[in-house]
Amino acid sequence: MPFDLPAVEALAPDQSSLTAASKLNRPAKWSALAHEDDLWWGEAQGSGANPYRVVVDGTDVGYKCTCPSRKFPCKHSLALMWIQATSPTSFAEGTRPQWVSDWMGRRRTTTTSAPKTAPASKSIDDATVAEEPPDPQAEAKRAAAAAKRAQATRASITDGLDELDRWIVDQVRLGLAAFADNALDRCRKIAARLVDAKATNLASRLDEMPSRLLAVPTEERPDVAVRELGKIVLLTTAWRTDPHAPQVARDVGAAEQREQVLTNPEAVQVAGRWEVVGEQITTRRDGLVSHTTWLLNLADAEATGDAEATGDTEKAGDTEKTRDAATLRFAVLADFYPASAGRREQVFTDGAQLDATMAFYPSPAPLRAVIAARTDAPVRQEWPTPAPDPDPLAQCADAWAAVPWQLEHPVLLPAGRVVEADDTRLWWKADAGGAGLPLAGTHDLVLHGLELTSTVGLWDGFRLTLLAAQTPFGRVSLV
Amino acid sequence: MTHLDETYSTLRDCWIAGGQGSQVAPAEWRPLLTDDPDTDERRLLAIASQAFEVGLRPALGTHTTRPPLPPLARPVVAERMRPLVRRVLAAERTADRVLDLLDRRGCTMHPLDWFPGGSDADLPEVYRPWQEWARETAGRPVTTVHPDDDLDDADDWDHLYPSARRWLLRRLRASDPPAARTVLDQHFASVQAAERLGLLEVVGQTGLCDDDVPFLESLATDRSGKVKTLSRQLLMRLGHLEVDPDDLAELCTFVTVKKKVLLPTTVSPTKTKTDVLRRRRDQLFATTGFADFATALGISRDELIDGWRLGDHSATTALVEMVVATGTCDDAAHLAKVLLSKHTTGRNQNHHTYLATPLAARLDTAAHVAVLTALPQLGLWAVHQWVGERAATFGDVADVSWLSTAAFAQLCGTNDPIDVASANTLALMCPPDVAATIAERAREAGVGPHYLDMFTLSAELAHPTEGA
Repeated sequence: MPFDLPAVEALAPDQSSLTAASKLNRPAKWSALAHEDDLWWGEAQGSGANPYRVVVDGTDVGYKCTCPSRKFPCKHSLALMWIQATSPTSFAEGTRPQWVSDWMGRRRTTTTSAPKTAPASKSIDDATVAEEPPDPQAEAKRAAAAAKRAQATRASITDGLDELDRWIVDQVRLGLAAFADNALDRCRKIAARLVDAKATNLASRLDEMPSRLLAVPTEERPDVAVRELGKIVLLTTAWRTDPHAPQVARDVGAAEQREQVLTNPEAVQVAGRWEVVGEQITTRRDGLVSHTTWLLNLADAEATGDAEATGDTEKAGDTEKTRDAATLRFAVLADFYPASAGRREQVFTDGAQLDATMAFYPSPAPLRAVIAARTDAPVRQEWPTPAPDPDPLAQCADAWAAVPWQLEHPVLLPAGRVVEADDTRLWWKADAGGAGLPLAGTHDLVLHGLELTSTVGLWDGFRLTLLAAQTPFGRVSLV
Repeated sequence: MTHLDETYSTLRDCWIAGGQGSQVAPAEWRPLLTDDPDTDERRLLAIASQAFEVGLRPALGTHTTRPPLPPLARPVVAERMRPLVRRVLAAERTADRVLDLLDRRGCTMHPLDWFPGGSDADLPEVYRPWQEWARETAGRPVTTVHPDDDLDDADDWDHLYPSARRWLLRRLRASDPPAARTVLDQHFASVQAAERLGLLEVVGQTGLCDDDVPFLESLATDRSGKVKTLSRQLLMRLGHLEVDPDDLAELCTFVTVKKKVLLPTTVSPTKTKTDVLRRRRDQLFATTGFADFATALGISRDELIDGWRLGDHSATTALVEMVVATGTCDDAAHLAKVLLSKHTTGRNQNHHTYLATPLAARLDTAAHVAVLTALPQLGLWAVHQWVGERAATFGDVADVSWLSTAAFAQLCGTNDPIDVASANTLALMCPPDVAATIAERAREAGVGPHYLDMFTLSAELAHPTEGA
């Protein structure tokens, strides 16, 4: 059954949902809009880094969206129905993807159909009424109030960081051995103080520090403590130097909204072919789920260099804020949502390749990004070939010099193997000799036999967490 | 140890116990320090933390590098199909059926999706290099005998692990039975009881004939009771073991035969009044032969099977075990048809299917298919019970006319309950095009995708380059 606007109106849980849906009912806000008979689906870019997947079934007005909204249907489902009702040609004919099939397999079909009449409290017309132009005086007042609030927040954070500095010195004076033993309590207390001071992200970082300490053997915990506390000192020092620096403000306070990144002229955008090389989903102590997706830029650095050298502007990029491919080798999409919202479905398949423009959060060493635009890649592309280097961590040097408080950095390693040290710990070792990096976690014995022609991992100063690798047996996921 | 290493270690040791780092800081760092001890401590911490990124690198000492995993003779499954393979593997009880399907389609598992243990038995031959790699990495002796090598050398035998010995014996039994018998004569007595039993099972499964009689008779004094029992059963199967006539006569007292002129003969198990009698009856079934039993009753083997009354499950189980042990393949197929024909759709009434299951071990693929073709009313679950683990070894059954009946109907949208294992069994027996058709129709009928993963895999493996 095709949708019509009265049906959408009737399905909406309230007027605000309709109003929110009206802002999403343009195909430009969506990607991968397609349908198969009466099954319609698409991906809407919400406020998070990962898009929401939405599917509606026209036969019985069933719907499903991966967003955490507690309204049913949510604004994304309503918007998809709305687009179907007003612009059905926006949907390409297609074969249902696996995630749609999975949903269809799980759901129980019902005979319920949309109510024919809408309660008077909801109206499509009201939802589409153009917003009144802002009152310049009111806008100015709001801006002044916001600036005042921001100043107060910065002052509050600075006070919190002063307390944090004293706390750090106390931990060192009391001994790092005792700190490692009692890190959970100590970190929780100072994290709570930082939350009060509005240094939210730094509070989360301190709250998670014990888990990073306890993840390593006892004899290494003082080293981890030195590194973690030292990096926090670097961050607080950077705050005092320039609290407006985007990376500093983000790592201490709160991150920018997606729309702010997309409209920020300082945000670098990189268009190219990206491969999903790993996904990490962890529940933090503050109750938020951290959903991190790592992407590898597949552009060949040498080819790009040639393009720039020859002045081929079409290949080398033609806008100020658009860098060419391969200048940034990695991107990370980070989403945070309450654990109570339930497990969110995976958006990207591991190993999937996409042609996308990544908008990076402003930073001297851009890494975190949101997807500005994307399409699925038609043909798979090979990984770039990293050159053998006696120090495989040299590739992180610039990033760590620019953002020295960063905890981990992705690396693309040259040909190597997994070897077993005499103490039975596993290491990645370069074929070219020299460098070796100890591995985090445990790995299947089979990995010892694989020749890793190139490897992507996360280096945290002590351990390498393997994400994915190319081998004679093809690409392998190692998360 | 470098200067940075030493400096860092000194500072860290100071901080571990709790102390002022500024007092142990090296001279070249002192210009960075101030009059404020708290500020100094924080600065030293910051510098020390940066040491990990700037100057300190982990040092790998002596280590072991495993030999590279050898490539297999066939390619690993296409990357795009690996998620599907992993889903199917997760739904299957063991990997055996998936391995057989991939083997049939000319590809292999990805080593990170599945990898053989060094002692896994009865794997497709293509995985032998990986098995040997696994044994080598586990520090056990590695089999160096190539499948094409002859198994007639005592040294080779000693280097083979039990599953390889069974595999090669099976191959020799098919290609050169006298050589296989020579190997058995030379080495059978020197291996452990469990392995002897395994080798004897191979003898029973592969080309059992009168030439095996001397070897089987030599096992009458074997140290293992199970080996002795199996050798007796094989001799009975060949008709070369005299059964005690008194035992046969006693067994006949546990059944009642009614012969009528116009009606078929009936053979009814007599109800045993005590457990002692029942155990005695079961013991007699286990120590006598099926052919001798029929002769003693004065009826043919087919009459015994057709006339058997199915009310007493314990007696029927004993008869099934007798046929499995001492009957011919035709007897087993015949009895299976009789039992499976009693199958009804209700799950609580499926005990006849359970009773028939042991008979499957005596049938080859053609006999399996013949049974299924003769019983088109078998539902999905009964087909799964009957074919079970051997589904993937069928090859693609060319004649799938029986698929249009109960099992197919059940899969495609009736309200009968289905399970993934049963659906997978059906999928493994279908040619790729039929699997694709069934998957499409079942999907349209609203069957969940997890029921159809094996169909999809079977179909897509036949066209590995499409969509790659």
